[in-house]
Amino acid sequence: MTPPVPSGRIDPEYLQQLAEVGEGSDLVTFVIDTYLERAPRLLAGLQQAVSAGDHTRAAGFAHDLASTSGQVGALGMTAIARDVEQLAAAGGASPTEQCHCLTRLLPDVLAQLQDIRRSYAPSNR
Amino acid sequence: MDSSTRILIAEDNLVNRKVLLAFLARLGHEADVTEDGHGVIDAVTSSDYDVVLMDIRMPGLDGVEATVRIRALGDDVNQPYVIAVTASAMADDYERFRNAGIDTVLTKPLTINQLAEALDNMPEAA
Repeated sequence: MTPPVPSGRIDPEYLQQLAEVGEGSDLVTFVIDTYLERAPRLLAGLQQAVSAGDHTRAAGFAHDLASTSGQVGALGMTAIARDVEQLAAAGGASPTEQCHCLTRLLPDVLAQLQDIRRSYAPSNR
Repeated sequence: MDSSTRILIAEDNLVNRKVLLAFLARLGHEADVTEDGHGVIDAVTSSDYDVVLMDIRMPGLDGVEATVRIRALGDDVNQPYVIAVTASAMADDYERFRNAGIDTVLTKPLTINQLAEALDNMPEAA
């Protein structure tokens, strides 16, 4: 199992390639805006599922969080969410500590993305 | 692989669909889209596809089961080259994917270069 990577740093490669392949800034801003809206809800859902001992739902939320975090280059979030998904899917140990780690990282990730988002015009947030 | 290659994206996540379509467009390809495994079956039985970019975790019918069903159709359909695109795969999953008939696996987050390489590495006959 991959050890948790406790870093909220955004790897710029992933958003940069979206800016390059997208039509103008539409794609990259769409991806960022969706993450800003969706990631907190995914993490809240994950925490609720873990608290309720619902491994199936926890694995689902963790999977979505891993996927969407990767898209914006939040690779630390992705790595930890993958660990949570695997733990939840195995149905053994509760991934409580990993969830705490995600909770600590997310505000920093969101702040970086908001800064990046402001660099793309027009802003509609 | 040229621009006439017929590609199907099977992905339930809107963001991932948009990104894959943008990557493919940059690589000179168009693609059809479906959002779940049942849609994949419907698509490959009604049209010929050379490649399916198959999300594994989809509602209803997941990408592994969809691939099993496509392979079970045998020569009744044009058998596509199936590229699994997944956010997380454990060691055991790769054997399960191969046994299902998935040809290769890409892990999200995907880069355009990884996608291009996977498409370039397709067998000519696929």
